[in-house]
Amino acid sequence: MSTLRINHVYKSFEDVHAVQDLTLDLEPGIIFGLLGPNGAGKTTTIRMIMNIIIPDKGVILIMNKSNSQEMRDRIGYLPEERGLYKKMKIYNILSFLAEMKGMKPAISKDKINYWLERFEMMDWIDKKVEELSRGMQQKIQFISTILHEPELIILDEPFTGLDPVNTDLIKDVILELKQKGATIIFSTHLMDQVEKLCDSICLINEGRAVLEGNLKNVKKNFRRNNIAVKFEKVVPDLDNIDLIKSIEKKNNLIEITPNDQNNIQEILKILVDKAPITRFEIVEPSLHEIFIETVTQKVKGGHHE
Amino acid sequence: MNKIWTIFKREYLSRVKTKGFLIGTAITPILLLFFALGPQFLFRMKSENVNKLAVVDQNGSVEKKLTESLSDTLESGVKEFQLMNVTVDTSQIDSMKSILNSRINANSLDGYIIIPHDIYDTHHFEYYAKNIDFDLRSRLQNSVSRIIINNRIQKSNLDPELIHSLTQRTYVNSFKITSSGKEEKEVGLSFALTFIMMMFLYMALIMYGMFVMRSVYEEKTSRVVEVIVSSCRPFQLMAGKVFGVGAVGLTQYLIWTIAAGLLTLYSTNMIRIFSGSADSVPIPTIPIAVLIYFIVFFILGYLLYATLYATFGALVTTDQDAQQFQFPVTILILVAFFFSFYIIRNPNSQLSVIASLIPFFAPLTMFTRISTFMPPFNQIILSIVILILTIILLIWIGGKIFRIGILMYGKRPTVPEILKWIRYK
Repeated sequence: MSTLRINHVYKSFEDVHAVQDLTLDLEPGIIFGLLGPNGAGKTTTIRMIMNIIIPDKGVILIMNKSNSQEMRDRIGYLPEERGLYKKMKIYNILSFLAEMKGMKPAISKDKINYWLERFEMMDWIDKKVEELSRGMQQKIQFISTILHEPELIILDEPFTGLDPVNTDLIKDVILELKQKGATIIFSTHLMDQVEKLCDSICLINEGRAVLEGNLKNVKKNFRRNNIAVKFEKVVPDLDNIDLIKSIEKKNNLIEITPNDQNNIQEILKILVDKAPITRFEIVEPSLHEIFIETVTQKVKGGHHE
Repeated sequence: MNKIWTIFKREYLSRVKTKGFLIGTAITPILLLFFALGPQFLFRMKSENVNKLAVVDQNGSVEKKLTESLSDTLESGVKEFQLMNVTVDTSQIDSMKSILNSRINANSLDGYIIIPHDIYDTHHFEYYAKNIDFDLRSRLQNSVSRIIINNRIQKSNLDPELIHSLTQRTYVNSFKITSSGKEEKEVGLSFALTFIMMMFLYMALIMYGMFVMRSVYEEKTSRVVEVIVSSCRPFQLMAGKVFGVGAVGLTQYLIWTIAAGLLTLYSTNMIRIFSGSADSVPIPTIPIAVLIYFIVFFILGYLLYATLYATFGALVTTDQDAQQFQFPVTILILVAFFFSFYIIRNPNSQLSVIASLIPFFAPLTMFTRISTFMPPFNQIILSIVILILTIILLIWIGGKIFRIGILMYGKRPTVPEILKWIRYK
């Protein structure tokens, strides 16, 4: 049984095709990365999952049921644009938002205390939202997202505005929730976070899924490896070598992108002639590179049509 | 339904628990009383100043009697008017005026009057002062006028007493026939009561309507709304807000009604103590039917306008928009309010009947008719039915606009776009 199934979904606004023929299938207990450049259709997709907007065509099933009020209570949603009632006290707003998800105040009380303790916010329980710093408000909003123990958690850019300590704290909590069986959808631009956390990804561009699947498979299938080289002393002049597409300095490594995957051995031969080499390895592309390459390729492709 | 209740509860408590609510509830009636009675009270307050006036009586028949007429004493026992007789030749009147003017500027004189020698033909005299006191002016005019009339009567060899008794004015005492057939002495109080209730309805519609609107767009601009509509249907949010603010309004009015009731009871006792009997001042009572209609039109009017305000609130993207969007709704209430003034005087004219059937005006206009002159029952029912149907239609349309508008940021939607949203399934 999949936690979320999106089946050939379309959504247009006026003359903009926000989402086109999107199909996703999320197994339970995974962390799923929903990636894409600005305006790719991520938020529209999330809003359709949340039943805030209705698809023009296609079906969205959550835990094998069509989207309904009752299903909504089993989802936790952290929108990209955060907002809380500024004049409300921390305890009251958490209790209110839990009640909006169908959790009785008597039951939510212990959970609120537990999470505030966990996020070291107990001292603020009777303070108003407006008295908190942005980072603290962020933590409160995160707590409100997971308070009702949702089976599906949707986090839109959960780390923006957080310091490294709190980023790690939230990361730990996310992994812990996954352990307990929750399915988590991540929408973010930060590719290193995705690489560390996600099991599967889907890259959306201009409303269409352009790359999707298990993270390892995505990387393997991307079939474009780079060469990382470490020279013993001096870095020789590597310009004007036909087989090399681009060069990037990373710490004391030189990362070389070949023109063609078949030329890797050839390049090595050339390099060996130039200067003594202490290290040579073939590296998988980072998700960051895959993202940029895929998105720009599609844009170029689009122009040729 | 549960979610509407949750939103309702938050909306209600977050408003009632604020200092603003307490202060507003306490201050509004005080302000109202101040505006209603203040000017009259201030106007009637007697000046404690001594008026030093110079009288230039060129005719010679007025000054003495005027001194007798203006013989009031202040609370301190001092005479209020200190009149100074000035005699001067007609040829020197201008130089005398400049002397008096300089004395006024030196504050040794408050003003002066000049009675011309031909006052019996010109019917006018002159009053000069730095500050023309409206009260004093009419006092002087009345006194001089009476003196002149009496002098004329005496010149004609008639008895002033006889003339006065012959020209005694006649007054009217009005009685209002109530529905139970009783006669009540009408002293203009029931008219005032209609006016006050109309005023309260008008205030409630505008005030609480705008509360709803602000509540909606604040939720939108603070971005809380996305979390809320991911937990409930937008319609539930709209309903919870409208009911929540409405309940705040009812609470506030309930407090005011109880306070007013206690005050009336108290003031009746006060009158009884001071005058020995309460019969002399009839306290107007609101017929129970009128009171019920007041509540009915309060609730229906509120629902109609709160829905409108909520819908427009969902379209607001900036604070400046808010001003523009509340204007069309507020103007409807204002028009209804002005109609009501016409209706108080013409409760059964054709225009009044039409105005009381138009749903946007009915909460004020029909209620004003009911409270001035009970209209036929079928007209009341027709007006209520039209009102309810309109509310249902507005909730239906408003809900659709609200659903999309509440998540629209940036660009302000155009009218054709909004019309498209309504047709949206």
